[in-house]
Amino acid sequence: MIDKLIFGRFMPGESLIHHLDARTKLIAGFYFIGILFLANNWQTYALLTLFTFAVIALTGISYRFFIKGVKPLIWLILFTVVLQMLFTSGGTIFFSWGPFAISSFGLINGVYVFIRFVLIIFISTVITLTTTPMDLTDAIAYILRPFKVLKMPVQDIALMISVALRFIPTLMEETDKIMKAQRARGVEFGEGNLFEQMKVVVPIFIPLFVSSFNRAEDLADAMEARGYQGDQKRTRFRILRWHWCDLVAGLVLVALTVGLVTLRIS
Amino acid sequence: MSNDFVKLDHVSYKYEDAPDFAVKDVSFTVEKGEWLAIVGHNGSGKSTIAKLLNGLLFPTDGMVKIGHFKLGEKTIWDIRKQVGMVFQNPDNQFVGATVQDDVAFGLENHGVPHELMVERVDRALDEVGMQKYALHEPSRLSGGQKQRVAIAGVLALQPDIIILDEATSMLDPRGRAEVMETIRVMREREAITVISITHDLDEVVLADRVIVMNQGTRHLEGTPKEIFEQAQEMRRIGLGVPFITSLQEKLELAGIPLTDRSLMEGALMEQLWTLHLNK
Repeated sequence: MIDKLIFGRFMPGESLIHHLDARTKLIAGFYFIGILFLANNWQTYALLTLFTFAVIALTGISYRFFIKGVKPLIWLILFTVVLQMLFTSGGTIFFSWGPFAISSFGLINGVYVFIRFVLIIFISTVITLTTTPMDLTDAIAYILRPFKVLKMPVQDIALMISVALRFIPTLMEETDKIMKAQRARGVEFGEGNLFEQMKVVVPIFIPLFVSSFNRAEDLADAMEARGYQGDQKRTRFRILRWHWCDLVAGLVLVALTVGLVTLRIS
Repeated sequence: MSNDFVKLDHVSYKYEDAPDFAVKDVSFTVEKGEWLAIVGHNGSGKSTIAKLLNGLLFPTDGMVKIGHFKLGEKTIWDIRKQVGMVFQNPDNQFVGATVQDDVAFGLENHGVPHELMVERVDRALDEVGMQKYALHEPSRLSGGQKQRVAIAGVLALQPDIIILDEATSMLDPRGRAEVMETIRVMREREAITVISITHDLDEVVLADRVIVMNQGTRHLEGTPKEIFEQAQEMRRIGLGVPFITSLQEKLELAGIPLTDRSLMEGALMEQLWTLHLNK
């Protein structure tokens, strides 16, 4: 079950991208998605595509994993692309039928949207594949830190995320076990009409919920027994540190932005 | 009198909706460095005692004292600092995303500075023999390994007492042996008080003293040897005796005169061997 999920999976490695600080990667990822919308002609898109492929090559992870990341979303992407193609007018019109028209502008727009989608997915896959979930949690906690001023319980949120991440495999395994146990008693999954299919989910969900409550209670006991009080001042075992390569990554992003702005026609 | 490190004085506890007391008028003391085993079948109140000992539950009646602290709302965190606890389910007590994070969790709560924390996590993992798994995730560990990590998490806090609340009951025989060996080795290295709560009778053999619980009360107390000499009584309350004791009973029934009941395989073998030679 877990093998199907590419998103949120970590691939251990020793590449430069792996060694970047998680905060750098997270901020850079958001920044990249932001500047993606600056692109408006083929030169800018070519630059961004080149950049993305260079980053992928740097991770040293096989392209297959990135393609796998796009696969589940491919229908959504194609749907958007087709809509763009059919409804954008302007330029030479090749074919028209009622309100629909395939024009040169439409085709180009469709390709741009396609590239944009794929690049966003590639870059976010780079981040999740090269960063451990814990490092990501730490990075999120760090980025949320300013919100402490607004009385946001940042420490509790970080703990909740990390406990949630830690229990994903455990709960997956349990779901699998419950499904097998129910199957052994004659429940059939994925058959019949929609209503029937929804009904058989109940014998999975109810036990799963009940056991989650029990787990939560045990976990709370164990945490309290080890001195967790919630509001106390805690020290941290994992400490994120900026290195020189984080600075380089920042400079590369600045260069990329400058390049984009110069190539852009307004 | 400072020898009585843990003291329960006429302690009773009743769960809110339960008709009967889970623990009725139990008193005992534990000395520093002692290994006490508490046995009893399900529902005999032994797990409730574990929770009373570190303030997860407060006694309805009576007094619990750990070290210099009497259990109460104010002293609860001081007590928890001294009492480390390992629970039954290895999955549900694993807080961290990796082994080393889990061991560090307790230290983070106590505000231990980073450098000291790294050092203590390392040492604790070394002590339970899990050093090479430091970066592993819990889903890639066996049950016995997870329990050893839990023990490391407790050790890193350097408590005076470790309570094992049925810590081996969900493990396979191999995991169980691993965990018991870890505890035995740990006790050789540090003067630590162990209270193990169990219904595995083979674990009891290793303890210095045994308390047998039955229906919420303290039923029997003594060294493992004394306890298992009362095989009839143990069977009557539904507990039975370890393999080695029942083997000796059968040998006696078969007319083999054993001079002394023993709990160690080696000692029994010695006796049989001598008997065989003297024939």
